[in-house]
Amino acid sequence: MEFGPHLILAMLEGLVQASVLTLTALGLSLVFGVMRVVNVAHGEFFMLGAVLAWWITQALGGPAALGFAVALIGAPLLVGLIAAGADWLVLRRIDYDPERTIVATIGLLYIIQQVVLMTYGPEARPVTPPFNQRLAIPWFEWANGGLELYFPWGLSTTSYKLFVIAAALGIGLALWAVMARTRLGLILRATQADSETAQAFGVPVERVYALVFGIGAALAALGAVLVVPIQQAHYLMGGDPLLLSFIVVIIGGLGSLRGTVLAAILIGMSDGIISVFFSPTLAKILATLLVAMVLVYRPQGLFGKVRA
Amino acid sequence: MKRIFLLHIGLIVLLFFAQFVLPTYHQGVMARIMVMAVFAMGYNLMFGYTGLLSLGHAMFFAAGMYGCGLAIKLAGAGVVVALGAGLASAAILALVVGLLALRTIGVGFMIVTLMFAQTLYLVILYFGTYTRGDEGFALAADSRILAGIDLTQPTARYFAAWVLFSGVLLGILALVRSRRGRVMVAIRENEERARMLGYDIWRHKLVVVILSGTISGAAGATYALLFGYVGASFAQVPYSIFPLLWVLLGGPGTVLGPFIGTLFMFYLVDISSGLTDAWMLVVGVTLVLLTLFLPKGLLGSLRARGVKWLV
Amino acid sequence: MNLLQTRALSRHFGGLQAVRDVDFTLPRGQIRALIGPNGAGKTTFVSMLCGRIGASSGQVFFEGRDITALPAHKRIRLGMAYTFQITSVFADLSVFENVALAVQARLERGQASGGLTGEVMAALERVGLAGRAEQRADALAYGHQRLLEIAMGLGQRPKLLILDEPTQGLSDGEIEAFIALIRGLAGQGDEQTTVLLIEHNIPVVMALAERISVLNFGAIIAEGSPDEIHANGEVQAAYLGGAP
Repeated sequence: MEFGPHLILAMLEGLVQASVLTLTALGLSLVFGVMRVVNVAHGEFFMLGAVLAWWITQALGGPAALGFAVALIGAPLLVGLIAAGADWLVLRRIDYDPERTIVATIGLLYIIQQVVLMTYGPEARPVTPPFNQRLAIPWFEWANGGLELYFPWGLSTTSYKLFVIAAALGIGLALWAVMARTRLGLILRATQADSETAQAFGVPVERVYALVFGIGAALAALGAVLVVPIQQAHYLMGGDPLLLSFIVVIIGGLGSLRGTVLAAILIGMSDGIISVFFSPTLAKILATLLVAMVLVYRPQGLFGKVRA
Repeated sequence: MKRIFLLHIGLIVLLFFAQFVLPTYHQGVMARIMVMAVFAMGYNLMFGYTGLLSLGHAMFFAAGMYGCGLAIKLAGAGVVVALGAGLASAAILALVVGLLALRTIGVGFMIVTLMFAQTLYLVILYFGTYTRGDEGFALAADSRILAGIDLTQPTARYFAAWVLFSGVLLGILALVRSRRGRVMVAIRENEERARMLGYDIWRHKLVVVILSGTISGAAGATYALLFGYVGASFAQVPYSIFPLLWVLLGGPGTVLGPFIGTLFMFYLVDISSGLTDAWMLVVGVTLVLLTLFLPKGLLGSLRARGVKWLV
Repeated sequence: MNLLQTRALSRHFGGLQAVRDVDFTLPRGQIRALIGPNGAGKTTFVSMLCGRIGASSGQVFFEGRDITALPAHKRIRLGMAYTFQITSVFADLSVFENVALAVQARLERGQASGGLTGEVMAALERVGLAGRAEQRADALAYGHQRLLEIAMGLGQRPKLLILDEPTQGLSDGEIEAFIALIRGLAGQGDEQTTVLLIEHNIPVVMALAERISVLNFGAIIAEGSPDEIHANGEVQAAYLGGAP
């Protein structure tokens, strides 16, 4: 394949990854923004979403589209409930102390991961996508004295992948609408700005935190359900999304949802593109070092606010 | 004062004589525990005594391990030189990481250390031609002889681990009871106050990072020598979590805490892995329970209840 | 000879001008009080002197030397000591260890003659806490914690002792002892300590201060002897809420 089509293919794949990453990272960013805690188990909620999607589709049987639709609603809901429960039982009792929360969520990481290992097993299992038509993509070439469209062999995408991109876009917009326009969003933003004052105004901060933790996990699970027909469900699949979400949230600026979205697109696309042309290990080294340096020299990221 | 001294010397003596009493399997486990306890003690200097929570300490362990192992494998160095190479690698890495990471605080510091550790792991993979990546490499038995003593033999191995452990234990005991140790605790308790008493906080922290990294590197180098294996798995995230876990369990900010925590977890994991493949579950549950109910760890909680000679 | 001097020292936080263009001079050996209504900028000003926060513009001079760019710990080493407005001791450590940390820093620089224990106990005696040396700092009553803060300041044997609302929370008897203590400090011959005192307790100010500076809305509105300040209409208006 020539360079042009190759690049287009890489960008499309990158866009799919970026869509999933956006949702996952938004979950992490929401939790950090409102609760000021780092959830190291975030990747495991992602993984849980994928595994539950597999279970639901297996249990329901029938046409793939039906099972998938149920999983798309059910898995994030279940994961959200589990997360909210974890917050209520553990995080609330340690007062959201930053250090203890990190330790507790590390523990949670291993608990979730190993329980899945014990029940689901170490194999990777696929989930059938609800629809999957191959769509060829045209490209240009010089011929007969002008630009002509043709269809390079291998340059294609699927209807499902386009759906993923559209779904992420839709959910992102819905989230923005909720945060900016609804009363719930107002409560969340108030709690983020000043939890003590919010509490003084009658906002049930502890319940809000449980809700936020649940939503954050549900977003990650949602991303996983969308991606699992493309990848497969595996008990270790939470590691990469965790690392990437971290990178996105830090570069975008801790607590800035807008920054998160922009950074997710940037990193999701570049990760895809760089991996196509360079060694993936080198790409990861550069990305990891970049995060570290951003934190060292510009801790507020691209869009975060400098804390006085 | 005397009781403190006696307690720590007592443990050292106990461990020395244990090698004659323990069955071979447990001799090997104890040797491993002692080396890992040194790793944990290095971590404790930063976390328990100075209040710096690093999530990337595996990089110091790995730096020591690879510095030593590569010196033997690629340059055919003798044991002493290889150990020196391991220590130097860890120390230099600690200096660089300290200079960069100490510009951040709190959560930022945790993530930066995590990222640096991840970078080292990826670099080890990237240079797989020399490091053999995830697979790792073994060190030939004849390269692990120090002054005529074959370190591959169980007794010599145990004794070598014991020497390292005792030396570091006593060194740390002296450090934390010294003036510098008092300043470390002051920084942990109330950094702003310490600054306003005229202490150069940044410099003190840097020294702690270098000491901590070097001690952890010593553990890594010793591990390579005694157990004859160098591998990238030791540079991965679990090996950054383990010292945190061991220190938390035993008691952060106590000298004996890291050893107690390492001992406890080793045997807990030993028993669990006999029962299930998912033994890391035990790690997870322990962490959650610890941070919920025993944030000061075993010895730390004892000390808080008035047992004063657990420094 | 001026121990401390500022020139056009200013500090703003975003849009808020907390300290504006302050020219301040403090001669050696004087007991100066800095007073003003809440929010006047006293703590901000004093934090800029000891280096806790940086200045937005202007300069600070200590013993004739420009220390504006010097970090806090280096200023302390030059001979400043600062006690916090909100008590800030080492909670988990004993009273003795708290003061020991203050003294130790000096010992390391070779600036002390007596041994560590001697110096620590001397400082504790002067504030009346010698009997509580082994108690944990957070087990002390609030008033005693403030005395501990002062002891830590004394332990540093500073040239300039900056006290931020030191008598807050002290009983009448403790306040009397405090006044005697500060008086004793200033008149100690070679070891003369200059004292800069932020205080709300006007009787204490009147009893101790040789000279008073009044801060309001970030600027010095009056400076003079206690009697002069007492009679100053602008100062009264500032405290009672009149127009600045």
